[in-house]
Amino acid sequence: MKRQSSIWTNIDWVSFGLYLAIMLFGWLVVYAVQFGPQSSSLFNFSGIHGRQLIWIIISLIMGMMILIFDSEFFPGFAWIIYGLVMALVLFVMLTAREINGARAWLEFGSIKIQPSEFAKYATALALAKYLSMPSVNLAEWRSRAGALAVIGLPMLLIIGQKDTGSALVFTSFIFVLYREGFPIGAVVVGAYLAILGVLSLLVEPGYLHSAVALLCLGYAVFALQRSLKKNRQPTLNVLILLMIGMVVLIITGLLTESLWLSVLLAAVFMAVLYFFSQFLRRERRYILLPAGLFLLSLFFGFFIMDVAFNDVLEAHQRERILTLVGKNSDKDANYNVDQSKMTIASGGWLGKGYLQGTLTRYGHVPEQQTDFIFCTIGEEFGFVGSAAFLLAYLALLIRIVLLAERQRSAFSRSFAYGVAALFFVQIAINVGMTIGLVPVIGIPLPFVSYGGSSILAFSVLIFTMLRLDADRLLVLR
Amino acid sequence: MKDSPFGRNRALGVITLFVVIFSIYGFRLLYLQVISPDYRELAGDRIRRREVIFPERGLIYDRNGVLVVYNEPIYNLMVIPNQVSAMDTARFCQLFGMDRETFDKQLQKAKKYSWRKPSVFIKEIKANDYTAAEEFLYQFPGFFPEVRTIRRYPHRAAAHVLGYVGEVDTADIRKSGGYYRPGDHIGRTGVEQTYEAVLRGERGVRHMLVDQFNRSVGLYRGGLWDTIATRGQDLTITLDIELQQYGEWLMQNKKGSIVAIEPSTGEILALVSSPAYDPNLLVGRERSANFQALRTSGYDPMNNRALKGYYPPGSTYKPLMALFALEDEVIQPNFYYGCGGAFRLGGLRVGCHAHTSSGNVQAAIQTSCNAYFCALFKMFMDQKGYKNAEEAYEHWREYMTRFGLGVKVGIDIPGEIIGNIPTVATYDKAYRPGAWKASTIITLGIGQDKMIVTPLQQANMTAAMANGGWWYSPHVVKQVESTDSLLAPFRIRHESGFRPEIFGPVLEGMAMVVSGGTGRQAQVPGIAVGGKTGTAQNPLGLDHSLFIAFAPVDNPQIAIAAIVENSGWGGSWSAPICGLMIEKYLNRSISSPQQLAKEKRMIEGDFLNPPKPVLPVAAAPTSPAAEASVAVPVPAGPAASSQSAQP
Repeated sequence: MKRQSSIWTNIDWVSFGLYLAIMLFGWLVVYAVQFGPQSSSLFNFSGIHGRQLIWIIISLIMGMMILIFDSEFFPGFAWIIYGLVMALVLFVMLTAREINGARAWLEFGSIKIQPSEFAKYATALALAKYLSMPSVNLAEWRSRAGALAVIGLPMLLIIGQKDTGSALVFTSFIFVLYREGFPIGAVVVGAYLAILGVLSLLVEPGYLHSAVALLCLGYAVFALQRSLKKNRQPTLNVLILLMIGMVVLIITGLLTESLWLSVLLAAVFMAVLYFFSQFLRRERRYILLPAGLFLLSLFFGFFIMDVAFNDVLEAHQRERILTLVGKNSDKDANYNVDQSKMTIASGGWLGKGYLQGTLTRYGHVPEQQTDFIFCTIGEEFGFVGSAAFLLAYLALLIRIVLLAERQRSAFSRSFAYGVAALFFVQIAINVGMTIGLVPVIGIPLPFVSYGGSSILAFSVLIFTMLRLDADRLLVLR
Repeated sequence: MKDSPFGRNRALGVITLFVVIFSIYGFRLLYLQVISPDYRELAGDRIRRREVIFPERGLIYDRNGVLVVYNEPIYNLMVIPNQVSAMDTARFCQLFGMDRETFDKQLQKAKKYSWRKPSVFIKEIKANDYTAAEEFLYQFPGFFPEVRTIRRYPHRAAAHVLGYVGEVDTADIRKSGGYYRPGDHIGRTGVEQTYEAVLRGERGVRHMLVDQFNRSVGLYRGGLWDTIATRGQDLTITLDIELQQYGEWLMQNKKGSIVAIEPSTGEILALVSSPAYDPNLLVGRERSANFQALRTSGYDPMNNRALKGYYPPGSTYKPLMALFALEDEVIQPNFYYGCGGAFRLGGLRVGCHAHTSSGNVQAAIQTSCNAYFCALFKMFMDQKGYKNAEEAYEHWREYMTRFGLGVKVGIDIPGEIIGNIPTVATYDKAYRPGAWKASTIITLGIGQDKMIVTPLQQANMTAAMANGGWWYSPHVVKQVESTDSLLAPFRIRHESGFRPEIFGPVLEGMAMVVSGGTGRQAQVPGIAVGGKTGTAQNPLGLDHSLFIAFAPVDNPQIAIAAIVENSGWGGSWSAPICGLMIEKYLNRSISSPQQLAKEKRMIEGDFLNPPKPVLPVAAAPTSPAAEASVAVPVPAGPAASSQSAQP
């Protein structure tokens, strides 16, 4: 009884206020997008802004219901919710009609629901639950694998729906893992792989081969230097051998054009190194570690990237990535981003004013009410408006992190981090693509883009977090 | 309680990352919106218009380099509803010859499709009409033209070979995986369909800047985002368009077909299906109306009888029967069979006409002796080495397929049928397994029973015989501008495997048919012609007249088959038509008085029962001036040669 009465006083009104402000602002922008000579007034709800308002109201009602739930409910039902939503995603993947190339929508007459939006919520809950279990310790490999599996399952299912963009959002849970003690080395390796991936798209195989060899050489020197510090003296022979080997690889890489030749060369090189390492027992690891790294990198750069790029991604996604790294000649793909940038740029300092965006009106940007809605903000509210908008988002994000840190239970903390990370990644990708910093990936801008599933799912995330925060002094598990 | 092992410094790390990324975005916005003038200037208040540039379809030339299909510009008037503002609607309607009601209906339709995207307001306005209205277009903001092209056929012939071009439907769009968009054109039937991928070219896009009067003032960003349209590739077809026109002219007021093939290459020289129609009918705004008119005109001019005609070959099959018997050494060329006016076997009797008995194969072909070929079929079926009638029949049927009968011959225009060479199963069903034998189906030996062969197959079979036992798949495209791979199937020689020496006597017999037999009407002064008449009984009316021929006999350059439905005896109509076609092709003109008289008799022949088909008449195609010299039709006969189906 005491808890029931305290819920309204314990709510974090700062984040709630920011959430409400952003969402209502988003609704006004949705109205602006479809505003035109044919459109009805703001209070005629037959247009998409009317439908959006209905979803906002549904979201708020849903939020109120969540607030009167017992906070024990969320850790208690985390696995069940996760299981149900995964089953739903699987069901949609297998049975749904294809819309825009993806099997991601559940249709009830004219209402379309996208279960992958709710998979984000379910995964945030499940991951928080998993990380708060006493037996889980991210210092152990078993727990790390378990945590990655919780995140990986929905990703795989959503890739199966051919909705790679939404699947990408799940990488945001890395933030949660990081906060809960995932080793920083893994993050470094991830970044290394990302750079390698981009390079493998950008440069010829031979150059990649050389670049990787150079990197490994750097690593070898670094390792040797460290061991010298620790007064374990490797022989000069090892150093020379490594230097020669890597330099040979760098040069051959520059000379070869064929992928297979460079793999063959690498294999021969490894065999030679292995042979010599037999005579240098003590210093073996200085040779084998960089050599292994080299081999793995090549394998990743050539093989994995090739498969991922050509077989997993859809043609239009390949095109967008190539556009971003500047290798695409397809003008249609570049054109959309160019139009988007131009629309934003036309806003200037203060923008053209609400409902005055001419480029918005003439529909120069595709999918403007959903993925490219930031263009309208840029055009009508200018730099000042869009920067203020981003600041509001940033304030909300920081507020959520601070809320997370004041939790006593690991469940609440992890969940709040999940919420912050999901928002951050979606905002970063969505805004980034409209200003040409990120490839075009079809995901909505939280609370702003037109679309019921998205608004509802994000509201549920926020309200669940608020509910958990209201009981921050309790320990949940 | 589970403690957080890492505490605040990792939280600080996360917040720092958020701030860094948002700062980068902030600076990017500052750069785009305030510092850099590039994008801001572009966005000015002028309206940009994205125009699709439709590629010109490839042109089509005949085997002698004569232009047979070219493109004529035509205009679609497009509208973007949210750019339409107050205007003089009455004036607009008057300019474009439409009434107010249609105007409102069209605008409503466009709005329903999209307020922002262009849609077609008036379709396919003729170039002349458009230029008259163009100078006033600025008064009507939101409307702009889109240039398209339509096909034109200066010779008004070969509609069945060329096919036509129509608008894509939803099925086409789906099948193409989104390549086609609503309003695009696609080849339907004929060469236009088969070679669509090379003919169509590649679309381009142009971004225009337009001022407040809806006039183009230049390219947006100097054309940075524009792509050029790539013209479709030109085709050279194997037809001799003059011969084709002549064939259609000869076939006027007749139902039937002529197919002429160059035996050494399989190239089709003429492919006539009669009644024919003017291909210019199926272009532009009148297409759908004309299409309906053609379909309901009677006698089905859209049907390509050359590929789909269902005809028993009758006696034209006899030379092939002789070859089968010779190949299996069932007979020698000097085989004698006494014809007592009929073939008799037990109670069975197949009648024959009055002629002297045949002392050898040549004579039997010359006199078209029914008894002789029934006997050959019986002997073929009863030859040693086959357990029963089924096996022997299977063997005979396999021989048929070696000459392209009962199978598709592989022509590169759609719609070919395989005809009918019955299978064992068919006869098992018609009689009873084991209850039929040679005598049951004896009229197969004279091309009757259930045997059905298309005119195309007949011409191909003739070419194969004239070649001495091999053939190339008949085809109508000789050359594609940039690639040869599409034509690879036509470079494969189909071999019958028959001994070359057995063809001599048979071809000699066919030469005798024309020089002194049933096909004397096919004679051409100065050219030795080989041929064979056929008269196919037709339960629905008068017999079909058939003729196959090749010439010159010692070095065949043309193999031809002609069928005139319901005209009676083979020698009287199809034979002279073949002769005239051969003369036209080899000599380029008809010279002697008796040939001209024959020609006159042919064009006067009328085997269409009333009512005559009433076909729509197409407006004369306007030849492009530059090509006028090659494009002028040069009919051999009277001037209106190509109006073949006009009464």
